[in-house]
Amino acid sequence: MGNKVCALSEDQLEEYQACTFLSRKNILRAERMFRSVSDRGLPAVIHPECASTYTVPYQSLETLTELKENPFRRRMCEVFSDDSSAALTLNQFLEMFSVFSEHAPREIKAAYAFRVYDFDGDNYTGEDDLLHAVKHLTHDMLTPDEYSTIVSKVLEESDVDCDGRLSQSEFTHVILKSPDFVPNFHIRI
Amino acid sequence: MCELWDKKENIEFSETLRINVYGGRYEEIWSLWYHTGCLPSVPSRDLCPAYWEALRELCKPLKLKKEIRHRLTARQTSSQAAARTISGWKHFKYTMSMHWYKMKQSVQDAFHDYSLWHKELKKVEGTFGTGVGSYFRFLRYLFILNFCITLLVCGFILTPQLLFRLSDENENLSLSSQNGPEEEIAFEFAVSDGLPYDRSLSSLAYAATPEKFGPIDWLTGSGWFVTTELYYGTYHNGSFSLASGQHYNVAEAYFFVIFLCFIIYLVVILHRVIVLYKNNYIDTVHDMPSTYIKKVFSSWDFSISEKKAAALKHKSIYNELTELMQEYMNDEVNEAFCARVMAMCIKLVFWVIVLGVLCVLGWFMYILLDNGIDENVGETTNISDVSLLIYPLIVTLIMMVVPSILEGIVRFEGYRSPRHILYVNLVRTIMLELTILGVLIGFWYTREQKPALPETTDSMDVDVDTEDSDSTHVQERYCWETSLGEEVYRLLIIDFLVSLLLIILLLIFSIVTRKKSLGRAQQFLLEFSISRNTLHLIYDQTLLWVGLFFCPLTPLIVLLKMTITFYIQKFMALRFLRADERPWRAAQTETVFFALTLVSLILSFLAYGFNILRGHSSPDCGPFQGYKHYVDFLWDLTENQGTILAVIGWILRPGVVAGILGILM
Repeated sequence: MGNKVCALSEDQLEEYQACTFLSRKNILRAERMFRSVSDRGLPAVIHPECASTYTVPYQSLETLTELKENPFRRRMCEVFSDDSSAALTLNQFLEMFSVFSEHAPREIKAAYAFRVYDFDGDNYTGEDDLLHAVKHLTHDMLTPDEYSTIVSKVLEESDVDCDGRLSQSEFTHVILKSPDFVPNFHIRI
Repeated sequence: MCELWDKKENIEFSETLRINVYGGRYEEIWSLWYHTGCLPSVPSRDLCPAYWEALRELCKPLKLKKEIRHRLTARQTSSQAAARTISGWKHFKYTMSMHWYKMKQSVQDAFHDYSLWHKELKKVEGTFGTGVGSYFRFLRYLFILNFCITLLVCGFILTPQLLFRLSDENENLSLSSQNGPEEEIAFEFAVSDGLPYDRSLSSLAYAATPEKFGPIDWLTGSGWFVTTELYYGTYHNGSFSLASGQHYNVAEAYFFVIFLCFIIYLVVILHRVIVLYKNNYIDTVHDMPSTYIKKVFSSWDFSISEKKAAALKHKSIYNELTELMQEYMNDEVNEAFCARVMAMCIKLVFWVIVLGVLCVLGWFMYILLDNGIDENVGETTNISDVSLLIYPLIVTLIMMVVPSILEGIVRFEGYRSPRHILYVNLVRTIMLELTILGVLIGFWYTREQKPALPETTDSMDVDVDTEDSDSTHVQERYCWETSLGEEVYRLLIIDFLVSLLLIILLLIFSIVTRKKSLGRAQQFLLEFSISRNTLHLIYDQTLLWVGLFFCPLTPLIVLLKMTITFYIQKFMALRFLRADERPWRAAQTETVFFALTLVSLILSFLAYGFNILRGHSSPDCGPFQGYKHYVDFLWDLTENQGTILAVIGWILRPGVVAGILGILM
């Protein structure tokens, strides 16, 4: 790399490679992306404490090309952040892209997809969550009747214990049967 | 749970982690482990790979994973006792497995993370979604593969041949001026035995009278090109000496390098097909219908990053959902038995029609080739003539028009699911392509198998009608491999030019209709059709495989073609074309495309095998002159080398093949 200052040390890179599904190149690209949306406060060389404390607020994150048109971007950032502020540190940022990378196994993707679609955070995907998801998808173009039909159909298809909501295992069981899930649940860095 | 020494127990521990990640007991186990510091001791400096996999797949925040890793590695360095109580053998085993794991990871990273065209691909994927992105990635994959093969071919076949030519030309120039036609004929009978000072006729011929580069030579691949290294015919058939007494046998190199190229293609594509199949195959036969769930939870394409594309996607999801709800209202009617039989009959009729049309096309191609040759001067195609371009033009037009017609027909046949429509379409188009190429190869193969082979000097099959001197008369005699190579070259070039022309027309059309609203025909034209483009790519690649033996520089030509195609298509797609509004199932179709490529490759490989075993080599040109069958060359090579035969025999044993396949997977 010559004289260029590398923001992450070798040890850090190795650590990230061991703990995430990102390759070395992708980790460096992700770090550049993070830098592009953070303000001047991010130092040129990122130490481990800095990587877990320096947060970028949601307003800056949602300007990223990869996220700006995604209807679920707010929820995605919330899932990976500490509280529900949707502000991310570098570690959380890398984790998010690790889950969305193509090497992440399908069970991990399913687990995080469940969390993303669980808008109220109660560990169940209830009717409200489903309604929320469909509204995000269709930009409010359907009538309320149609929304309730869709929600009831979804529950009919997947609610095994008939409690009116989907638990993690029900969700995972169904979503993994969909061949489009893994290729679609993928963000290229 | 602590103090685990055995690899087996280590794996069980990892399994415990994995199994309990989604269950209720995970929190319990994990918190016990984290808080009491009761960590399993490990016998080596690094943990075995099973640990790392389990660590990565923990569904916990990154901070915690780093902490766990830190604790585990710290614990080892502090506990020296751990190292002492483990036998050296186990320590060695674990270290080896760790190194192997790391090496595998870095190799995987290197091979799967190409930086070539990364930004462009990202832009395209952001605008069109994963479906179109997968087409461009397929293109890039083939490009890189072809690039490696080109390097191989250029390095080991082309360069030595050029070196030989350079060193030989000086000596030949003086020699040929002394030789009269009788001497040249006498040379015909000389069987090359691989001595360095052997002269092949081809080198004599072209050294004596280099053809001039005519104006349309680059289009037809004839004329001047026949005397260059572009084709099989000009390669030397023996060995020559490089510096310091080393001999390089061009014929052997030719054979083995081409064989190696095919093996590389086969291994790489087979590996890719297996990996894709493993990842994407999902057994959905026995499940309850889950259409709504799929639409709601897995229809949004997370890689979309452009406003227009996002709007399009929202619209398409809206359409799909309303369609689904309407279908539900209408309810499926169980078809009567008669209706089903009727439907099957219709499909059968259409299949028969399509097969019939393919046969007619094949027969028509054969007639065309036959007439083309008779019209030409003699049996040679050394003369650049515009009439040579008729066959490639017709083939290209067929390959452009007929798949679109097939695509149109398939919609009327009454297939229910879009996936069936796609598969039927793909199979028919591939059959069309194989018919055309099969007829081409079959034609040339049966021609040279005819008894009128010029093995005697007074064979008057050669109908020479040229003003060139006598030495080229000898060269022109019946180099069927070069002729086949020329056909492949012409097909490639004409195909490229016609597609460029079509793109320019499309560009003009889209500029003209930019402001106006789009009718159905216009929509059809301005759509980026993934299946049509991918099939075109597979067609190009099949042409490469067919022509590789007869025209060794085909990978280079296809490489250039692919580069230009990539940039032009990207430009067109981003500026003018729209995405297909219907949903595109990227994952499974990618597997299908690779599988089709594999089928074409295997068929070409079998055709080559057949040719090598039974085909007659031309007696006066190329590296295998003097051998009646290509396979004689191989026997010649191995007659004194029992070891090579033994090695080949061992490699082809079922156990070894199974082992190799196992490693690949």
